[in-house]
Amino acid sequence: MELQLQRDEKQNKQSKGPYWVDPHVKGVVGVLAAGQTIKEGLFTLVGLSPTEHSSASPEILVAATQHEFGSSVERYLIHDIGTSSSLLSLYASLNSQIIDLSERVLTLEKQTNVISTKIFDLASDKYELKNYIDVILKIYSDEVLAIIPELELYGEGTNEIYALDDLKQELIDLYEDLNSVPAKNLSKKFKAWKKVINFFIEEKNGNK
Amino acid sequence: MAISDFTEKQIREKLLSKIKPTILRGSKHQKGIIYLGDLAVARVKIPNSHNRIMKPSKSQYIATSLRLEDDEFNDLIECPLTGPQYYKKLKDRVD
Repeated sequence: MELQLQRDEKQNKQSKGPYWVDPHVKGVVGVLAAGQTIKEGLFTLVGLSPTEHSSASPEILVAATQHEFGSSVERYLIHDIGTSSSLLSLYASLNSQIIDLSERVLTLEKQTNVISTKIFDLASDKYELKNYIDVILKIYSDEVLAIIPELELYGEGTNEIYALDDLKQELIDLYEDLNSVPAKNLSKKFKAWKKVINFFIEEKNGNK
Repeated sequence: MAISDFTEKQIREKLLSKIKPTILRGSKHQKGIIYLGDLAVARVKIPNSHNRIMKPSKSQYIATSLRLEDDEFNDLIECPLTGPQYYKKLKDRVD
């Protein structure tokens, strides 16, 4: 892939310039001649020696980097860093760290965020909680799951509130299901669940 | 082996056609009770008829509810595991 740097006229008017930028370039540190078409492999001229710098004149040292943190912030930093090798080295080091951090942020964004919380009520006219219940929230980019592993229950929603509301309905459903089947027709596991859920849920006064 | 990608609709249809649980109500998400004789031994949340891929963690809960390992759940949805074969496995796993 070849990239053609273009003069950034706005920057040129504001300073000595000239400045060159390619909006598709990410993490560029290079020595470029005006209007030169460059190869991708030239983009990382990291650690140029002072001799090389001085021989680069009157070429222009251009450094540009695109910061991308998720999709929320996108901006360009464009610097004419002259012929200072220390600045170039510093820039190369910072640029390397930015690329590394960007990759780590992307990795983290793909991971599920897991947190614990509690529910204290069922948002029901008919039932109420006698004790709070611990809940695990698994937060994905497009969905949230609210989970009570011990009862194999999960609620789902587009955010934490909807997922918890759904879980509350799941709890009520389980309570009603287990209490609608005669005890003699429940497996050992269901009998244990019934004991657990009856410890947590009761009908409100007037609904018994 | 991990659970394969299935749509919610695929899982729903296989649950209803092969396992035929007793549906207790039609709330936001239907639940089905699975009986062995007179004994209620499993309860499964039945997905809606959406064509989106079900998240592995949700499929995992359904497989667990059915007392199936991941590969067995894949077989149930992809067809090799029949309803009668499922109930035979379930019978061996219920306490």
